[in-house]
Amino acid sequence: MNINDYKKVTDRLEPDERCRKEVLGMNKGENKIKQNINEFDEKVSGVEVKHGHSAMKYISIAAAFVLVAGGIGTTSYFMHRNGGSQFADTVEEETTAEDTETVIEDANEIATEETAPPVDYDYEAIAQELTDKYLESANIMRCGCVDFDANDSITFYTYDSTDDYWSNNYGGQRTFCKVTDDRFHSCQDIYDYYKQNLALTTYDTRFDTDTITPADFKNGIFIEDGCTVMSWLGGDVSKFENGSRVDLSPTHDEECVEETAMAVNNAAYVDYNGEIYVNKNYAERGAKESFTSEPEITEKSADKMVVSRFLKPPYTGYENVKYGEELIFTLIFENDEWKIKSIGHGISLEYYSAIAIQCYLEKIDEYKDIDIDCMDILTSLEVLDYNKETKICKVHAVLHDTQGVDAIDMTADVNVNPNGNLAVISADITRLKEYDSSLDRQGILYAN
Amino acid sequence: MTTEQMAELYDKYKNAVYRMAFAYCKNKADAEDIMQETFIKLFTADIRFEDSDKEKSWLLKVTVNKCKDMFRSLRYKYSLTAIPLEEASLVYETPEESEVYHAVMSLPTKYRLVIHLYYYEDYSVKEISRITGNNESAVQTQLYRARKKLKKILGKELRL
Repeated sequence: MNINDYKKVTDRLEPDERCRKEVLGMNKGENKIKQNINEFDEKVSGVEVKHGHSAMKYISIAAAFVLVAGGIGTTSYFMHRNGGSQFADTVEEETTAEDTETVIEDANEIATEETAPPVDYDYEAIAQELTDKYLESANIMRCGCVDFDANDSITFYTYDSTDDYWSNNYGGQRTFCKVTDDRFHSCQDIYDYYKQNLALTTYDTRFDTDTITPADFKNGIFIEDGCTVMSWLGGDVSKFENGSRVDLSPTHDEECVEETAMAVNNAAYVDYNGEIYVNKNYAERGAKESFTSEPEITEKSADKMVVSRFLKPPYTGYENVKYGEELIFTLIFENDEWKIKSIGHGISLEYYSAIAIQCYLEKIDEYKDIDIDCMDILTSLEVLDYNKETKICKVHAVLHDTQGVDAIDMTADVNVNPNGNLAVISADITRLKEYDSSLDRQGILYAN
Repeated sequence: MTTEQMAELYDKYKNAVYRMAFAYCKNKADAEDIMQETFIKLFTADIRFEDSDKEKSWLLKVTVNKCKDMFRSLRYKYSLTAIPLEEASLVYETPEESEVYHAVMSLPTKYRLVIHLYYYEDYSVKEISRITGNNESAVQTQLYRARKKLKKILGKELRL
C-alpha cells in the first residue's frame, strides 16, 4: 500500500467542461471594464544613461514610528483621575432623592430615549495606549521579547523513536534561557499579559463568530489569525531532566504524540520547576514587529471605535519599509474599559506597490532586462506619499538588471486599493544603464 | 489579459486547483465553485507572475483561502465534523487505491490539506507554509501527525 494510490485516484479527478465556459464567459465583462481602467498615463523619459549610483537610492527612509511619551503620560493621567476607569472624563451631576424617584418611575420611558452616555473619551489616547500595549504583549508572546539570563539555561535534545527521518532532519538541540522579567513567572503570566488587552468575547476568525476569550492559556487563541497560543506557550515540561533526550513518541506508538515533548520541540516558552524559560533561538533572534504610524481612528461611537495602524513585520525585505502592513483594530467599551474586540488586516502598502510594479514592468519589452523579483523591488522601494482617501501612493525605486546593477530609476503612482484594481497608474522611468537584451529575464509567461 | 491568455491559464491549472479544492471540500459541486471563484480572482486581479511555479502556488493559496471562507460560512458551521465524501466523482482501479484514498479523506481537514500539498503537489514544508499561512513548525507537526494517523488507519505496511 502506497501514498501513490492517493495520487492515482486524485489524478482522475477533473472538473466538468461546463466550468470552463462559465469561468471564461463570466470573466469577459469584467475583463473589458478592466482594460479600460488600465489605460494609464505612462511617462517614460527614454534612454538616459547615467553613470554611478543614483543619489536617490540613498535618500533615507525615515522611520515614521515615533514614541509618543506625551500620549502615554496623558493616558496615565486620565487613569489616575478616573480611578482606573479608562480615559473617561465623566460628567457627574448631583443626584437628589427626588431625582432618583423620578428616574425609577420613568425607567421604561428613559430606556427608549436617546442613550448618549455622559462621557467624553480621549479616543486618541485610548487607541494609542491599547495598540501599543497589544503589540508589546504580542511581541513578548510570539517573538520571545523578554529579558533573559543566557547563563541560566536548560537544554533538551528532541527526537522521534518511530521516525528516523524526522529525527535526523528536524530534531536536535533545544535550549531555553531563564526569563528574568519580573512580570512573568509562567506561561500563564505571558498569556494573561496578552489577554488583558482583549475583550471578554473576541472575534474568532476561524469560525467567523464571537467566542469567549479563554482564561487558561492552553485554550488561548491568537486574535489576529485564530491559531492557538500553545504554538508559543508550551506549558510545564519539568518531567524532562535537563540535558536529556526527549522522545516525541515515548510509547513507540506512531499514533501517540507526546504533547509535552512537542512543546520542548516547538515552543517559545516553557515552564520548568516553577520558573519560565524562553527558547534561546527566539530570544536571541530579537525579531519583533513595530508600528510605523500613529493610530488613526476611522470610526468612533460611545462604545466602539475602529483604529487603523501600520506595522513593520520582521521579515526579510521589509527592513526599510516606511508603512508596512495595516492592522485594523476594533475596540469596544465594556465593563468601564476599552478592549480589543478584533484585529483584521488592511493594506500592505509597499508589498502591493511592488506587485503592481512587477506586473507593470513585465509587460514592457524595453524593461525585460530588469530584475522584477517582488522581494527585490520591495527592498529598494520607497513610499514618497500616500493618499488614504484615494488609496493611491507615489513610490520611488532604483531597480537592478538581472546582473544586480542599477538599471532604472522609477517614480510611479500606484493604486493599492485591495478591493480595486491593483496597478501602476502612471510611471516616470529613467534608464541608468542602457537596455541589454542579453540580460533578458528567463521564463516569463507573458512578456508582451 | 486576453481571452486566449485566460483560457491558457485555465487549461494549465484547472486540474491542480480543482483537485486541491476537492481534497478540502470532498465534493464536486463545492470544488467546482471554489475553482471558478479562484480563476475569476486571478483574471480580475490581472496579476502576472514571473514563473509558473509562483503562479501555481498563488492559485493554490487562493484556493485554500476560498475553501476556508466557505467552511466558515453558516452552511458548514454546524456540519464541520461530518462532511461526507462524494463517491460519485471517484474512480478506483484497485482496492488499495480505495483504501488509501478513503484513509486520506478521513483525516481532519488541516491534515488532508498538508498531505495533498506534500505528497500530491510535491511542495516543500516551506512552500506549504506559504500556501496555508501556517508557520513551518506547524506544517511539520501537521505532516508528522497526519502520517501517524494514516499509518494507524492503514497499518504499518503503508509506504509514504
